[in-house]
Amino acid sequence: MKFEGRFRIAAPRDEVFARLNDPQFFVSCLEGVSDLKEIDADHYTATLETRIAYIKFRFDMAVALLERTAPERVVAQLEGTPLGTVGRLTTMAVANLVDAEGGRETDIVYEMEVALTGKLGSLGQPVMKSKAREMEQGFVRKASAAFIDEAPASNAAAPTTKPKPAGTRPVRSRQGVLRLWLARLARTIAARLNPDLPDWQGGQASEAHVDPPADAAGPAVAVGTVNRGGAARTTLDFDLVRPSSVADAIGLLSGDDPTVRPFSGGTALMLMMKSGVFKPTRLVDLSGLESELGGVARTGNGGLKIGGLTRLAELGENADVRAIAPVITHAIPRLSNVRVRNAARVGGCLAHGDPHMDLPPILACLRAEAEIAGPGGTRLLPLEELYVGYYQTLLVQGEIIAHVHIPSQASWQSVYRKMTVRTYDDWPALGVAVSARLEGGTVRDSRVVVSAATEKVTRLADVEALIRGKELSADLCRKAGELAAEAVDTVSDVQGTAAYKKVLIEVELGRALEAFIEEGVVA
Amino acid sequence: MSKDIAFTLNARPVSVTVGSHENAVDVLRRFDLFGARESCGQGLCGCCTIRVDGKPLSGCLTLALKLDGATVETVESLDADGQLDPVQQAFIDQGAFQCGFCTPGFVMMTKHLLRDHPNPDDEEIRSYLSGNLCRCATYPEILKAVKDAAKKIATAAA
Amino acid sequence: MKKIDYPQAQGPVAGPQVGTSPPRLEARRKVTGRAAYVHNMTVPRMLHAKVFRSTVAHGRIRSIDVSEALALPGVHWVLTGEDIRELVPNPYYGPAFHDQPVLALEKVRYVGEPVAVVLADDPYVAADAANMIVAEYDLLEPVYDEIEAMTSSAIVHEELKPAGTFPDLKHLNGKRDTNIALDYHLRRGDVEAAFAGADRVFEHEFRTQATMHVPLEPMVSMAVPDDDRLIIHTASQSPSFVRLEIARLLGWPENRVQVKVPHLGGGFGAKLYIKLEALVACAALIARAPVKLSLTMEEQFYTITKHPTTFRIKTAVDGEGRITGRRCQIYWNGGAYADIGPRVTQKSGFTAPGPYDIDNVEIESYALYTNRPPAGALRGFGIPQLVWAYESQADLIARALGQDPLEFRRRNLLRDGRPQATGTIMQDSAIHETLELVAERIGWTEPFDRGTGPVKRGRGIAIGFKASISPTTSVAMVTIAADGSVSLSISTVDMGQGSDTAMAQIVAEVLGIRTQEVNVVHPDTDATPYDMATLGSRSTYHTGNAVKLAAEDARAKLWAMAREAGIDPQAGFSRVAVFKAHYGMQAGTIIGTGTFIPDYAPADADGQSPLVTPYWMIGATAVEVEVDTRTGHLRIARMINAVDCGKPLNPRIVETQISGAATMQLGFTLSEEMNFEAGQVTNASFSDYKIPGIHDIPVVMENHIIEAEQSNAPFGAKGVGESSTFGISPSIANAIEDAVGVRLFELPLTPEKVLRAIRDAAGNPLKD
Repeated sequence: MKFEGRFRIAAPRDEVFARLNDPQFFVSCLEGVSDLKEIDADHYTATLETRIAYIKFRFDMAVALLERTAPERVVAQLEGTPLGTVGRLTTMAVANLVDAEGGRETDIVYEMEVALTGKLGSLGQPVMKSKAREMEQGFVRKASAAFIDEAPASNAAAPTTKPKPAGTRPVRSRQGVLRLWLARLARTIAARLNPDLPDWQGGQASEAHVDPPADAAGPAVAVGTVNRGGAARTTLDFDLVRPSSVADAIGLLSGDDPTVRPFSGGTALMLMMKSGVFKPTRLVDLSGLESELGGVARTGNGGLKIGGLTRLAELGENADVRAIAPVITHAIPRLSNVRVRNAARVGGCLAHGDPHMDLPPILACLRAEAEIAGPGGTRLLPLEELYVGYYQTLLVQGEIIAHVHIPSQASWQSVYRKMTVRTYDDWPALGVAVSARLEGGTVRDSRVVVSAATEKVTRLADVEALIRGKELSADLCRKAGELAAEAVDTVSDVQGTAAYKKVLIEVELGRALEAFIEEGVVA
Repeated sequence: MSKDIAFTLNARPVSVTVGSHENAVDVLRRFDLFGARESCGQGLCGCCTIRVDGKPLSGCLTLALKLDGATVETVESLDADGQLDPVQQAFIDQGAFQCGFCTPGFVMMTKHLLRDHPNPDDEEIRSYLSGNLCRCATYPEILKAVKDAAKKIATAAA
Repeated sequence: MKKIDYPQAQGPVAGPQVGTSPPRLEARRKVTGRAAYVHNMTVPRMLHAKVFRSTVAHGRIRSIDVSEALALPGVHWVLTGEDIRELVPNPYYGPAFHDQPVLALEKVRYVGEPVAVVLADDPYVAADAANMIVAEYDLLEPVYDEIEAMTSSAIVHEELKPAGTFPDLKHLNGKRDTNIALDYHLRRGDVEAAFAGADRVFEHEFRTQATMHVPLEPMVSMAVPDDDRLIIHTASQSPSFVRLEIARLLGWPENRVQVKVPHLGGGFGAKLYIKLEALVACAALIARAPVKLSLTMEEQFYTITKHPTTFRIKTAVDGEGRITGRRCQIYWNGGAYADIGPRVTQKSGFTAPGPYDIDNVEIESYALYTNRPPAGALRGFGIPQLVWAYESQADLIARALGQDPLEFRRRNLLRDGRPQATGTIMQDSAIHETLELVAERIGWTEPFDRGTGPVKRGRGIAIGFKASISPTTSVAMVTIAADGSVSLSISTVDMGQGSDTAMAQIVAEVLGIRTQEVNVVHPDTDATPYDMATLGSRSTYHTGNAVKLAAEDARAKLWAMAREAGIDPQAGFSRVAVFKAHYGMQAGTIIGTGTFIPDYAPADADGQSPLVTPYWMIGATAVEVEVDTRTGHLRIARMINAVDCGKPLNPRIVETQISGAATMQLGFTLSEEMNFEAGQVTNASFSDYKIPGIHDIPVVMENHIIEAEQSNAPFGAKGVGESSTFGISPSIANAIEDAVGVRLFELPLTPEKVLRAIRDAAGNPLKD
C-alpha cells in the first residue's frame, strides 16, 4: 500500500529539515512510537504500539535513515516485527522539502510504501491499511502543529549530508518506476546493513549464516514440560465468566484492560482469536442476561425495542419486526448465513464496527438509537453516530449495547440495497439504506445512509436536503446519486477502487430512491 | 483455563476437559466424531455444521466451553439406528456429492431446513444453503436432493 | 439393529455395468460423515506440526531464533532447514526440478515459504510456539511478474536443478542466472511467411490471474516411523510418486516407504506430487515419533496456486477468414519452485494455437521462476489459460472480418485426419460435433432479447482441447477370493471424481458381476500397484485400460480353472464351485494383472511428433450473459456445456464432472483472484477469496455428453474431469463483447473491469 501527500509548514526549509532530522522530534510526531534508542547516527530502534478497536499490536521497530540531504530530502526505512504473531511491517518513507511562499514556508512532499506480511498481512490487510492511513494523517497533523506551537529546537542535530545512492532519482508520477526505485533502495539498505554480503546481483552469495542450534551436533532439544492428555495449556488461555446481571457484567468488563471483552454470539470474536490477532485474558459471557437484554418488543408509540442479546435469526423471524420494519426482515437472509444468524446477537453485531455489515446502515436509516449500558450509566446514541472509523466505535471499555430503539415507522418506507462484486454471499462492496416519508410523491423527510464503500456507516445529509420537499422523479434520483458520489470518500480495497465505488454509490443510491417512485414498493 | 464440561452428545450424556481456546470441532474429535470438520475456519463453508440446542451452528466458531450443559447433535446421530436418514438417502439417490468433505454439513443443514420448511422452493433452498460451500460444485444435484428428501419425508409421514 | 446389506452375487450375468449410473461405491460413508480422511487420523505418540513461514519474498536467512519456542511446555522439537540437512544431505525435491527444500535453506524465495517447523503434543501449542520463532533476513530484490522475470536482475534460483527423470530437461542442468526454468519451442511451416502473405494480421496480449484450488479438505499428511520403515498417510493424488520421491530423498529402497491414501476431500491438482510429505517424513524420522501436519485454509494459499500467465498471440488470416499462421508466446508465472510447471509449459503449450487447422505455427512457452508461491496443475493443466487467449482472439478476428464467430470457427477447426501443430494426426475427436451442439442448444442463429434499459444481453461461444499427459504408466490388479468375491487394487486416487466407481464398473462389466460387488482397495503402495498419478483426466483411459486388462486376465485365469474342473465357463457357473473344485476346499486367490502404457512418439527439436498424445479431450461452452451497463455487473442467464469424453462409463458422474468443472472455472472467471502486496497474499481466506456458492451458478445450466467412441480406450471412454473448464472464460468475455461491445483481456472479469471498459469505450473513463 502506498501513501502520497503534500502538506505545508510555516517555516523555512532548513529549519524544517533540522527538525525532521532530529529523530526524537520525528518520533514524537508518530502516534504510539516510544523507546527510541540510537544504535548509531543512522540507525535506531523503537517500539510501536497501536490499537485497532480492542486489539493491541506491538511492533519492535528498526529505523534506518538511508539518506539525509540537507535541506531537501530524508529517506527512511522502518522495519517492524509484531509481538506474538508471525509477521513483518516494512515502510519506506521519502520526504522531499520544497520551498514555498518564496522560501518562508516549506512544502513536505512525502511518499510511503507500506508492506505487511505474515498473518497480519494475509488477514488484517484492510484494517491495517486503514490504521496506516490514520497514522499518516496523524503525522501530518502533529508535524504541522509542532511548527505552529513551538519555536525551532535549538539543539537539533546538524544536518549531515550523505552521498546519494546511485540512481535514486525520485519519480512521483508513475508507480511502476517508483517501485523499481524503491527496490534499488532496498538493495542499498541490505548492503549497508550487512556489508559482508556481496551484491546479490552476482547471485553468488553463499556465506549466509544461519545461527547454529543450541546443540551444534543436531537440532536443539526442547526443554519445556511434556504435556499429554486433556487440554493443553497455551498462551491462549483465558477465563470465561458468566455474570447473571447487567450490572455484574459491566463490573466485570470495566477497567482499562482491552483484553477483557464481552462475549455474546462470539462469531466475530472467535475469528479474531483464531487468527491470533486477539488474545483475551477474560471473556464475559453475556448469555446469562437474556432475561434483561433479550427479545423484541413493540413500544407504546409503535416502535420497536430490540434487546442487545437478540439473535439475528430471531430478528429475522419476529412478527413485530416484519410489521414495523420489514426492511430488516428482508435483509436478514442475506446478511450472514443461517448458522451465524443463530449465534450472532444484535448488540455484538453493532458493536463490531466493521463497515461491511448490513444491519448498521439499515438501523441508521430507521433512525434507531443504541442504548448503551456502561460503568457511567446508560446513554442513548443515534446509530449513525456510533461509528467513528474502520472498526472504531464510540463504545468505551465496559460498555455494551443493551438495546436498540427503533421509533415508529408510520408513514415511512425503507429500502436496503446490498451490492456484492464477487459472489452472492460476499461482503457488500456497498450497502445503501434509504428511509423516506412521502406525501403524494413528495419527499417530506428522509434518511440516506451508505456503508461498506466507506470507512464507516455514513449518513448523507446533503442528499437528504436535496430531495426534501421535492417530488421524487427519475431525474431527482439520478441527481441524488450524483451528489452522493461527490459527497462521500470511498475506500479502495480488494473489492474495487475508490473510483468504482463512487460509481456504485451513484447508480445504486439512485436505484434505491427510484424504488420509492413505484407505488407500494417496500423492500 | 481448563474446565470439565458436561453435555448431551447424540443423545448420550458426556463429560470432557476442554481448554478455553478450543472449539466444538476440537471437542468432537475427542469423541472420535469426524463428521463435523474444520475447513475454512471462518464459519463460511459449513463443513463443521452441528446442532446445538436444536439450532445449526458452525462448530469451528463455537467455543468449547459454551457446550457445557447443551444438547449437541452431529451428523453421526442421523443414522444411529443403522438406517439412513431420508436426507442422506436423497443425497445418494441424486448423486449430490463428489469428494464428500462438505456433505455432512449440507445434510445437517438440509435436515434442519426441512424441519422448518417441509416443501421448500428453489429460492428457499438456495437462501438456506448459501452458507455452505461445495468446491466440487455439486450444487445442481444438491438442489435436487433437497427436494427429493422433502418428498421422501412426506411419503414416509403419509 | 439393522443389518448392513452387503451386495450379494447374483449369478454369472448381472447385465450391463458400463454406461449405467450406479451410485458411488462410497456413497454411504460420505453421507454419514464416516468416510476416512487423513484429517480424521491419529496414532499413539503422534506429534502435531506447525510451520513457521517466511515473511519476506526474497531474502537470505541471517538467523533463526527458536529458543523461546523450544521452551514452551508441550513442544518437543523445533526444526530448521539445517536440521533437515543433517538427515538428508541434499533435501531438495520436486517432480520436474529438484529445487524445493524441505525447509528453507540459505534463502527464502516467497512470503509463506516454510522456514521452521514446531512439533508439539497439541496443535494449539505448536501454533503458539511457531509464533515465538524469530527469523532475520537480508533482503534481496524480488521479482513477481512473469514478463519481468524474463530479464530481471533478481534471480530466484542461482542454478537450475532439473530432476534426472525427464530427458528433455537435461540441457538445463546447471544453467545459471536465469529465471527461465524451461523454454519450450515448436515450429511448423513458416510463420513469418504466413504473416508476410496474410490479408490481415492480429496481435493481442491476454493475461490470467493467480488462483487457488482450495480443496475443502486442506492439505494434510502424517508420517509414522516403523523401525526401518516409514508409513505415510497422506491426502495425495500421487501416492506412487510420493513413495518414489521420499525413498530418493532418504536414499532408501522404495519398499521401505509405504504411502497410504484414504478418501480425499478434493484435489483439483493441489495435492499432486509432493506437498507436505517430505516435511512430515523428515520430521518424523528426526523426532522418532509420528508427525502430522494439517494445513489451515490460509496456509493452502502459500503452498500451490494456478499459474498466472501472459499470452501474446499473433495470427495471420487470409481473405476468406482462414487462419494461415499463428505465433504463440506464453509466459507462465511458476512462482518460487517449479513443481509441475515445466510440464504445464510444454504439455499444454503445444496446444496453444487452439483446435484449429493452421499450416504455419510457432510456439514459445516459458516456465518462469518468480518470488510468489509455487504454481502447479489446476484442473486443466494450463489449458484454460490458453483457451482464454485463443478463443478471445477468435472472436476479435471474426468481428474484425465481419464474420459470425461460429462460422469463423467452423471454417478453421481441425477435422479428424488433419495434423495438429505437433504434426500428430487428429482422430476420435468430436471437435465439430461439440461446438455444433452448444451452438444449437443456445439457439445461436435465433434472435433473442438483447435487453432493455441499462441491462444488455449477449451471447458467446468458445471451444478448447487438450492432449493427455503422455507417456505415463498405470498398473492394476484384480483379485478373486475363493468365495468368488472380487477386489480391485489400483493407486488411482478417488478425490471425488468417482474413479473408484468407474473402475469397479469396468471390472464388473468384464467379470459379469454387479459394480457394487467390487471392492476397490484404497491406494496403499504396499498393496496397490504403481500408477503415475491422478491428474490431467488420465485415469479413465490409462488406469481404465490397465483395469480392463487386469479383469480380463483374472477372468481368463478363472475360466481356465473352470475348464480344468470340467465346468463350462460360457454356460454360467458358481465361482466358489470352481475354487472348491480346484483347491479341494474354499481356498486360493486368482490374481489378474494389467499394465498400460499408451503408444507415444517423442517430439523432435521442432516439437514435431507423429503421436504426441493417445487421445484428445474437447470441451465447448456457449453462454448468454446480462450486463448492467451502469455498474458492470454480470449475470449468467444461460450456460451450455458439452464435452467429448468418448463413451461415458457412468453418465451421471460424468455430468456432475462437467457441471462441477464448469462452475469451478466460472469462479476463476468472475470472482477468484489471489491478491498480492509485497509478495504477501492479502486475501488468503474464504472471507476474501470468494469461490462460487449455490447462488452463483448460472440460472440455467445444461451439461451435455458427446458420445464419440475413443478407440483403444476402455469401452470407448476417455477423461472428462477438466474438459468443461476450457470454454468458460472466453465464452463469457465474448458474450460481454456481444452485449456491450467491449473487450476484456485480463481475468477475472470483475464488474469494475467491465464498467471501466464500457466507460472507456464511451469516452467517459472512470476518474481515479
